[in-house]
Amino acid sequence: MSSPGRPVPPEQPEAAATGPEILLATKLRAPGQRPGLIPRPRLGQRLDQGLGHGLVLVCAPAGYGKTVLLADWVRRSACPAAWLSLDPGDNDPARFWRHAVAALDRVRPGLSGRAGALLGPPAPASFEPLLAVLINELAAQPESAPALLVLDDYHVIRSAAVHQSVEFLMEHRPPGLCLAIASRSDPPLALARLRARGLLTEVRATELRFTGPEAAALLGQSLAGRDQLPDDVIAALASRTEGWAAGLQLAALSLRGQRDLGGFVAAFTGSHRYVLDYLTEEVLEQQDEQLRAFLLETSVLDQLSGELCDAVTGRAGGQALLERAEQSGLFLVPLDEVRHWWRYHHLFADLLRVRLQREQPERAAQLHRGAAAWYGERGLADEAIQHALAAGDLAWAARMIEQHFDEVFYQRGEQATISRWLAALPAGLVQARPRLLLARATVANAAGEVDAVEPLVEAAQQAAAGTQEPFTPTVGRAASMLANIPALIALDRSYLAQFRDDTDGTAEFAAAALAASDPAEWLLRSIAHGFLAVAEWRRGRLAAAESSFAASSAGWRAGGQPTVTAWGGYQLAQVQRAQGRPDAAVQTCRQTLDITMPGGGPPLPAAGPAHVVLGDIAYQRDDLDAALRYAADGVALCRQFVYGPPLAAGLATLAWVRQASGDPEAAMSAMTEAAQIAPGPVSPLNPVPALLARLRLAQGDLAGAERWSQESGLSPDDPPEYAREAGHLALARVLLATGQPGPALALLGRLHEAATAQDRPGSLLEISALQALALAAASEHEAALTALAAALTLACPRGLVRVFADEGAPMGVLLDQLVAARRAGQPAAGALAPGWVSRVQRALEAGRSAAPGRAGAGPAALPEPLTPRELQVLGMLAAGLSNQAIARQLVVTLDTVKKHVSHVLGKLGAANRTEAVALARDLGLISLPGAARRGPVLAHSVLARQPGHTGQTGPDRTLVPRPAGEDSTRRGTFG
Amino acid sequence: MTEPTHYEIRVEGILDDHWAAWFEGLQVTSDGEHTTLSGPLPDESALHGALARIRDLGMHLISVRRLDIGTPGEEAPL
Repeated sequence: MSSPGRPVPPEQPEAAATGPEILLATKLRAPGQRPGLIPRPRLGQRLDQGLGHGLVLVCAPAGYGKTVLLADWVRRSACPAAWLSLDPGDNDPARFWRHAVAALDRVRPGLSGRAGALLGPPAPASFEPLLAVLINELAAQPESAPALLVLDDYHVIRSAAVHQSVEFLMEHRPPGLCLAIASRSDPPLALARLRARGLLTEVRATELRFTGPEAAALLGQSLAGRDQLPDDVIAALASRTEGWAAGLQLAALSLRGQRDLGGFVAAFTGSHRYVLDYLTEEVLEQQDEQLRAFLLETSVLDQLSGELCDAVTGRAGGQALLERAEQSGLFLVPLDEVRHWWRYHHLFADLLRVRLQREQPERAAQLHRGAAAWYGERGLADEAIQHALAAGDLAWAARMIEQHFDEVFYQRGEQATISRWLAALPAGLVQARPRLLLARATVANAAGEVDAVEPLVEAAQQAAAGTQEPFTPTVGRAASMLANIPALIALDRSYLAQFRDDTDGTAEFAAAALAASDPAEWLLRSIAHGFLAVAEWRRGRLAAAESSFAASSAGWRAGGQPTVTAWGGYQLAQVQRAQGRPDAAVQTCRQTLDITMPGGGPPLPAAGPAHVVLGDIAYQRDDLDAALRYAADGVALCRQFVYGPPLAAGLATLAWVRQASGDPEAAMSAMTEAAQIAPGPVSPLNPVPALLARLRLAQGDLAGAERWSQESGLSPDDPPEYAREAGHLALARVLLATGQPGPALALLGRLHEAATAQDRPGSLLEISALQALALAAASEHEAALTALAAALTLACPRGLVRVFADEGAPMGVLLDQLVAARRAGQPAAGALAPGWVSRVQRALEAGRSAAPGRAGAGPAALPEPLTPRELQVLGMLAAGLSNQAIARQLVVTLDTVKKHVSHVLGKLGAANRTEAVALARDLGLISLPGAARRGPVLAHSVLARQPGHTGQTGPDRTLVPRPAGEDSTRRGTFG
Repeated sequence: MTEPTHYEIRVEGILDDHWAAWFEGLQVTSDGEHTTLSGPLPDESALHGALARIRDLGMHLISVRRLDIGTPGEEAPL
């Protein structure tokens, strides 16, 4: 199996890691035990019960021993456990899920390779496709023990996007996953519903309080070698601390150094001072000055290593002090096996920080500055920036943000992190720095706040005049957007022009960006070429569009970004198809598949768009079997792809295949879904609304087609404009179907003229075919045959059959006339390759005999077709789900599932589930094993119903391969 | 900018006044058994921040009051 994920065994010494991932390993490991762990079997049993229920919530205030409890449980449990210690940086959903996937990869090796591509680049507009992959991957191994995912310190999460995605995972939790959440406050996750359904096991403060015997055990340890503590002392301490683990632990520490035990207990229990304040002071007083100063100074750090501590305190010996502190039980939690990284217990760190602030108010800033420099040198941007902000070094933080922007925003897709950084800087500072202004403009674009972009770009232009600061982006200049200020400003202006539907402006500014950039700056140039290509495409200048898309695609490929390369390749192939060059489009798709199906192995989601184009071309060439196969696989893959248009196009092809196979109902259902994903208006990149109108016509729904033509705002008197050509061609068909050949002819004539002027054979052959029908309807029979012959002549070398066959009966009549005319030797019939006309006629004939339910291939081959629900159940059977799992997934009763399964077996004539799945694959009801494993469980049941899950398409401006989501209409549910 | 709002937060146990800096500069006073944190906070987010800090210390919250409404003898704004 090929997985580009880390083949690194978890046991590899984490200290060996370098770069920004240094600290990742420490987040993915259950914190080590501090000395003197008190076994608490009553709580362990409680957690074990929860394993079967699906969600465990350990919820109590700070210092109740939540982490210790879970870490101990995980170490004892037979279940493979993935651990994630959350920190405030995880409020970025991209970062949160990257970490969660890395954690799960340790219990399901290879998972991050399969899911990783969905994390970007480009940043996903929605995390549901990623979650669908995770859920299906975890569901696909029902035989193995359930995996446990622990999310510790969940209270640091405030991001609604993260909460929503965690809730989604919980709602669709596969049987192979148990989620355990530790938090100081109840997470906003619809707990009541889970509780009511008996899916939630809770351990709360009441249960976490130490009982008398537990407290005695804990306190007793601290006095090892001395007399036993009297019962009344234990009772007094347990009562004063209310069984609070942190309080008891500190009390135990304090007891250690006490000569006058009775006096200490009396003073402590008699005081009303905040327990921890009191005890921390006691404990600190017992330490020598060196250790005490070290504890206070290093309290500003969220993670501690000897080296970092030395850098921050300006003194050597940090490692030894850390080890001493850990041995003394001073709340130092080891984060790895090799005693390289620790953290303080969060509560203890807070108490130390308060003391530092009181005793040396000026010192904290200095310490933060040292930490910022240390992290900065190691490329740990977030930590460096947080410390710099805490130190008040705002200009330093600003430079750091600029240098890391490209990496964090474009490569890691952590848009929320960039927003958080920018929000922490004062407006005046941002206003003076063009790169920060442009970074803000990029963030605004990604958030769909287009109105905010222009003023920022203007301000950047102003500020740029004054800056000559050297700039070294961490990604290198070639992969940086911020490096080249003038080019980026031009690019943003091109982008703004797209939003104003200003095609000329789009092209002009894109060209300016290209002119201002260095040939090596591939990221900037790939985007600029993409903008330019879309503008040229809309203008009908297909050759120019092709060369720009090719340049753009080549850039993405060289930059090693499979997802965007696949998207660029898709657009390139679509232009080639529109040019009437299907072979070139096929070639482009094959090249894309080279990188999206690495080594011919299982396809990445990014292989979906190429499958879709191959399906479309196979369909146009009347190879319905291949078309069905490609389209079905393409659709399954595209459900996990970041851009919506290929999914819509794949569904549209599926619709036409079904229509041609005699299953109009299934055809309309696929086309309707396509139209939901890609609503109007019609454009070169989005022909779906026009295709829906055509399908309605083909199914005799004249009223529906007319309604579309009225709502589309298109008129037969419109000037020809390539951007709306697909719409105009659909309109011409509506006019013909409603007996108005005159206006249709006028419209088609203008379109023909424009296509001739721009040398677009792909358009000409379709226009000519429709002109033939219109002329025939206007009783101009000879001219009709001439037009038809011209269309056939163009279509023949390209092998395009369906452009005629899909026009149905009137085209059949016309073809018969053409054959007769040729037999009679009429010149209008022209010269055509032998056999070509009869091939087209055969396709038409096959369509006529493909009565519903009696087709040669595809879903319609069943005597009694499956309902959508049964298809869904079939997909889940193929994914290996049990009846129970299906019932849970669909939220129906077990009996209902059994009924569905028996219907599926009956309709397929299968003896058992295995046979049903095999038959269904043969019939093309479900896609190939590779694709089926990745897709169907959720793809059909849940995601399909959620508009925008793949990112809806708006006008063409939304379709440009900008690595980050750039339009609100493309933003997913979690965006 | 909106006017800061005055709040009064009461917790169980006694905190020294050096905790004031930890609580966004709120005044820290205690009566022998309880502590009162009071003063102006810029907005509700700041209030929630202060409450989160109390939670993070594991202290017991007794009450939270906005001082400009519902206080006898004072007119509520708006």
